[in-house]
Amino acid sequence: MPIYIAKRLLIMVPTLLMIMVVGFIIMKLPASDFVSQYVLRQAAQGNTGIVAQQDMLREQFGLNRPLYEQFFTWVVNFFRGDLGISFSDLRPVSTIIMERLPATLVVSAMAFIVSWGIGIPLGVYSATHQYSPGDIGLTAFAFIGIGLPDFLLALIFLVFAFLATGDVLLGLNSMQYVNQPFSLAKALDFLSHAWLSVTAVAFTGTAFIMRVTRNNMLEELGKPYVMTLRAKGLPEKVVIWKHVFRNALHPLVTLFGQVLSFLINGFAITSIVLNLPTIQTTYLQATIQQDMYLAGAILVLIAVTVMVGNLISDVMLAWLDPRVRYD
Amino acid sequence: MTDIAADAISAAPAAKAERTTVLSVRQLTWRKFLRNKLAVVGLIILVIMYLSALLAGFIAPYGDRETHGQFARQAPHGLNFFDETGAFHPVPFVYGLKRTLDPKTFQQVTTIVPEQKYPLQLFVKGQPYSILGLIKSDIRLFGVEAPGKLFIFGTDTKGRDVFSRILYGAQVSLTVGLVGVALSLLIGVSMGLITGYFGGWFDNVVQRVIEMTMAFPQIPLWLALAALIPPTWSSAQVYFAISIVLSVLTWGSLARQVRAMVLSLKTSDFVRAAKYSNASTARVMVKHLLPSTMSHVLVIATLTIPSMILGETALSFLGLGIKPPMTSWGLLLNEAQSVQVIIELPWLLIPAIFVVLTIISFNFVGDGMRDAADPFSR
Amino acid sequence: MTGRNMSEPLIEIEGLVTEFRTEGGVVRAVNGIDFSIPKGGTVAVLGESGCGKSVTGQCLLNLVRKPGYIASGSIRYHGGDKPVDITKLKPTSEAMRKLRGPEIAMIFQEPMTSFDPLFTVGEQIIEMLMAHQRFPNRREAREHAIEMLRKVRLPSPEIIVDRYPHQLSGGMRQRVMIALALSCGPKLLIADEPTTALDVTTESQILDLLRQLQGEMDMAMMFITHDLAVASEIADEVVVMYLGYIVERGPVAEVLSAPQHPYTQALLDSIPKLTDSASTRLNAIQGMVPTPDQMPSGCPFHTRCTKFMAGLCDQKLPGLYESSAGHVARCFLADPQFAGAAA
Repeated sequence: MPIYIAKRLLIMVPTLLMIMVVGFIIMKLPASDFVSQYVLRQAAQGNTGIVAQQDMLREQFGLNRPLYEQFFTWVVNFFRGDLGISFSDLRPVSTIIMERLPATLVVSAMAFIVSWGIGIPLGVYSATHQYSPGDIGLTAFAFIGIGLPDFLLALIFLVFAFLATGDVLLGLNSMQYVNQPFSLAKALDFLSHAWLSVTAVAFTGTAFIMRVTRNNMLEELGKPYVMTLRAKGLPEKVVIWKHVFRNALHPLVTLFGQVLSFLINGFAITSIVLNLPTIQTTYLQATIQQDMYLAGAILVLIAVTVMVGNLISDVMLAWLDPRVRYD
Repeated sequence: MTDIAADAISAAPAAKAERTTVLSVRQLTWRKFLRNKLAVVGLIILVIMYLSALLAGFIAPYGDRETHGQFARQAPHGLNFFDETGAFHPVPFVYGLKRTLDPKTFQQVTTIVPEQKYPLQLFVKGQPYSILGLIKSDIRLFGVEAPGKLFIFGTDTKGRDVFSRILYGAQVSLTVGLVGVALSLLIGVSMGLITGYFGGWFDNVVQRVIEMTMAFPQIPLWLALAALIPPTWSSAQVYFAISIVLSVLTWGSLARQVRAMVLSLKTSDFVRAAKYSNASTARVMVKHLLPSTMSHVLVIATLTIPSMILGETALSFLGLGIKPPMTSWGLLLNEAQSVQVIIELPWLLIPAIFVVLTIISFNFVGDGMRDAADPFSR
Repeated sequence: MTGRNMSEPLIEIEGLVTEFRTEGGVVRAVNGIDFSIPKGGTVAVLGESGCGKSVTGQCLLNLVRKPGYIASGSIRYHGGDKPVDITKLKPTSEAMRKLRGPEIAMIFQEPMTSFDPLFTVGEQIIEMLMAHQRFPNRREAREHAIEMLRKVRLPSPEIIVDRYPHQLSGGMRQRVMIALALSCGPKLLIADEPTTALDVTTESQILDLLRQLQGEMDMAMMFITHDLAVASEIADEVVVMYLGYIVERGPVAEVLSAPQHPYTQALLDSIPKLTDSASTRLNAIQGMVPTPDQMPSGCPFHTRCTKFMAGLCDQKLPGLYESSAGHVARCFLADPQFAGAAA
């Protein structure tokens, strides 16, 4: 197994390089670059002097050097831990990412736990009570959850929260706390804001996991070994949770990586709508402004997360299922 | 001996076996699909939606860019069967509208003029439109006489009829996913066939590329790619660019599944038989392998469409997708981005209902197709 | 089989009806059957696939899968202190659960898919022992599991006990299945086509094993099969089913030597004989089994019967007529009155 994991990690390096190439090409495809956009914006605000500084800025950012040179410098520095600087606020990319990462992780982890924690039991209930009113209700709920884009859901929640409390729960902290150091009050304030986005994203996630769980459970419940288990006189609880559920978990585990990208997707647009200080919002801004090192680093980070997620799900699969062997 | 027994045993001459009709696989599949009620409902909804999108010009009372400036921000103003006195009107009517300035708040308010009643009329003359550029007309299915206005779902901030715009938006939202899926199908199936059949270095390269595309979460990449679309492009160019963006990530998983199927089919008897009877490689691929993978591929494709529709909605909602003067459901929802707007003009969220309905219907149909794809299972 | 009084029944089935709710309406899989299994005896239930024999087996454990259910009839079990009617117990009840395993056990046709793939075979035996509180701790239960594996003559049971199902061959798995079913010492073993999925040599080994263990453990057996040869080899009594009906029932020697029902006769005729020349055509039963939702009127077999009498067989369901002691057949031709009238 350790050999297998090492192998998988090694394969990730070329994939990562390819992702970096693609990311770089995407950033470089437009005729404009960060400086030309910046100059345009400044000029629009009446700051015409900036036009003369264009070349100096390019020089400073290394944007005037040949493309391959820019790329190799980026990649080499990247693997040495230097992610470059953000053009738009002139701070190191790593600093900006570290600023945004904790909130992103907390919100994502919350949504992740909620989706699995609620989705799985509901899915099992739905499958073991197939066609009961409860199952039909949950199925309807799941289809709405899957059909309704999570950003719209976030918006609708936002409106209801506003109507109920009179507060616009945008962002993850109230104004007075934004630049405050960590404190209990800030944490509570964070929670009072975060539930909204977490619920919105987790709603879709829960629906998705519930559906998958239900389908898997129904498929497993139809298999002959279930009859054997019942014929052995095992209590129904043991049949369902020890055996059927563990078998049904198998395809769910393969989904682990998918659920990660699901969350990244979910929070991408929800964050923008709700103005959450997550890494996805930064990513969108950076992409639009062609702040290439920032956008590139986040793209790589996201891709690595998904790859690691897939690796974890494969390892978990081997651990759960004696038939799976990686050598 | 009875007839039943007779034709069952002898597997006999067609004339005799008339009563035991033999169903083709296609008929069996269709029958099985029809047994899934949700799938049938979904299919009916989709057919209605696509037909209405096609006939948007005819069904919508107003044109998509037709503004009614003085009636901007008008709440849904529908048809009535009963008037203020409670009298029943067999032909529904709408009340006339009047804009006045509220003397206290100094805000424009619309009031209903009970004296003015405009009955619903069929086949009224409206703005000219064309269907697929083929049929040009200015007769619209329904409407009310000129000074009267029919805003079933209200109007937006610029005074455009939301109902009509939903119909026109459907033309984009419902098709952008289809074009995207068609593109992924084309790329995915041909890649899957080629890599599965020939293997070798090309297969290796393609597999690595697919692995890479799978490491990207859709939305961030969609955002990056959508941001690439130059602002100077025309609506039509943007439309196709968006469908390309949507298909960039989906062809990979299709190609993988087709490849896996081809790998297992390659050694099956019917493919070998074809090869031994000197069928050309192209013929084996197109006549034998392709049809065997098709049912599975179509199911996946159907289940992919909803995520593409959601993708378009999300991109347009963020202002990175379809741009005016073209319209789409995402773009319509784009107007309802802030709490303030939603509280004042909640009807601007109505397009979301259509998004949800479409997504759910596609899911139902896809599920039904998946179950029906194997007509011999129970 | 043993010296015990064979007439003392362990289980009595009376008027059992099992139905399935389908989209096309309610379909009867088992249509009012009666038979009993004596203590220590073996009854073979014989029939083509879809005749309701497996569902009958599942009824005894109250394990009919949805959308199926027992509609009426009774299954009286006399193995405990006082008789219980299994049809009156809820499938999920504790009383029913306690019957499954220690009183009535079952082995299945597919040794491949009848085990949970995620647990070792040992664990699957141990959890059953623990569920019925046979042993105070898992260590002793494990000892017993190994003992059972040895009993079914598996080589090195200490190693097999920690193997996963997919690591064993089909024959070994079926032995494990037998060990599992017998581990709580049931009084009745339902064997649902236990040898169908196995090759012929393994089949006879398994049959020998079952017969030997039955003697050792003094249990009754209900042996479900479609194979006449297997039935004749293992059973004392045979029940022939067709489309949910019992068409013939009696001591195995009687039924096989003097079959009364045209269906049983046809089944016997369809076995190729060694004396047949190569050019002899196989005597297949004409036609196909109607699907249960197209249940024929009158006698269920009349659509395929060579002795079909129009106006009678397709109108009226024949009763069960006794031709000799304990040997009955559901055919007008077996009705002594009818035979007399015809003569």
